[in-house]
Amino acid sequence: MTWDFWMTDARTGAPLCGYQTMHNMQIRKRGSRVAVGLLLFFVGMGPVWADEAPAPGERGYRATAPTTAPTTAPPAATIAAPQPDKDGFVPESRPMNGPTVDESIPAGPLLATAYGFVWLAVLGYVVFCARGIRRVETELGELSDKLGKLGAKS
Amino acid sequence: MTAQRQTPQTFSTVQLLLLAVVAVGFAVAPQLIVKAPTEPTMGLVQRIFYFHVPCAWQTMIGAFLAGGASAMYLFRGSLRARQVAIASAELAVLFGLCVLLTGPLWARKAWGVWWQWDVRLTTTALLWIIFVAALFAERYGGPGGPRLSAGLMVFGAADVPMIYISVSLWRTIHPKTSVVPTLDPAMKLALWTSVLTFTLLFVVLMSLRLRVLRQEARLAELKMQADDVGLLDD
Repeated sequence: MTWDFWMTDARTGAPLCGYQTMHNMQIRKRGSRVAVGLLLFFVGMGPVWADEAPAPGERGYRATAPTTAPTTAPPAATIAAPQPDKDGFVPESRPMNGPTVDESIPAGPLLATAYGFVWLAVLGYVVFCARGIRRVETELGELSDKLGKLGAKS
Repeated sequence: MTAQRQTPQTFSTVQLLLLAVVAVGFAVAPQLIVKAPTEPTMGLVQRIFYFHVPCAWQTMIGAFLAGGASAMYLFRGSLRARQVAIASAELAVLFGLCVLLTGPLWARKAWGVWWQWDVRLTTTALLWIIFVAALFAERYGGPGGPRLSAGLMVFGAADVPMIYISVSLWRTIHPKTSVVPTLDPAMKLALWTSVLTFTLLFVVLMSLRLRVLRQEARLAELKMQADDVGLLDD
């Protein structure tokens, strides 16, 4: 049996003897197998659990339509309450361009940042490509000239 | 007497025409977006959708093209396929970055949080990371870099269908793709104008980048010739 002393204890920094090293490696190997097994199990069970989620009205049901969460509902007298479908989704019944949500988080800066970033990113890439073309074509022209002159001499 | 060398032209005529069409699209689309009705639940922030969705489409197109071209490069060794793969991957990264930035800006308002480890969001982030890794492998991977990069791109392209069907397969908080046919006609017009404009932009950027890559390959070839005759020594 080979005694390897190159591994060190993570906490103390002291070298580990062969037995300790092998023992640690076995634990790590077992740990990684368990981790991979768990990962595969969760990935495989994901769709099954998604189907098994409690239906509306059942115990443990949580509404998962967050887009409706921050809204303030209009007075019940003005609009008839729409009926939820089988998934518990309640369709929006307020008219387009009518009263909207309370703007607790201002949407304007978010919208401006989103559009501004897209335009800047695209513009940046166009500049990157245009500079690349100019650089490469200038180099190509110079090199072609040099090669042409050399060909003419010989 | 030597002939005066022409100044290199940055854009070809076709590219300039396409760029003009894209510019018109980018001038018209915001007007249609402003005219589109305000979605009552989310309010103003919903309008991020008109740029977010087209960017997501271009990311998927870029990833698919990069995957297909990389497979061709791996099996046939085609240099042109490799150039297409690099250009498409770069565009997938560019538009992917726009998706990953505009999405959280919308989510902050709609969901109350910047990010959720939702399947759609997580698979999109994974796609972006895979393509960034592929581009790094291409540039810094040494002699085996292009093949490693191509392998990664094929792997990344396999993530595209997963992203698309994720909202139907799993219970996610991301809006489903089925929301598009139910849109108000004015919203649809704004969305499809944006999609068309972004698709044309993708074509223009792709052709620009391909031109750079082709010329770089030609330059490398000429440099080798010049080196052979000792022209680069001085």
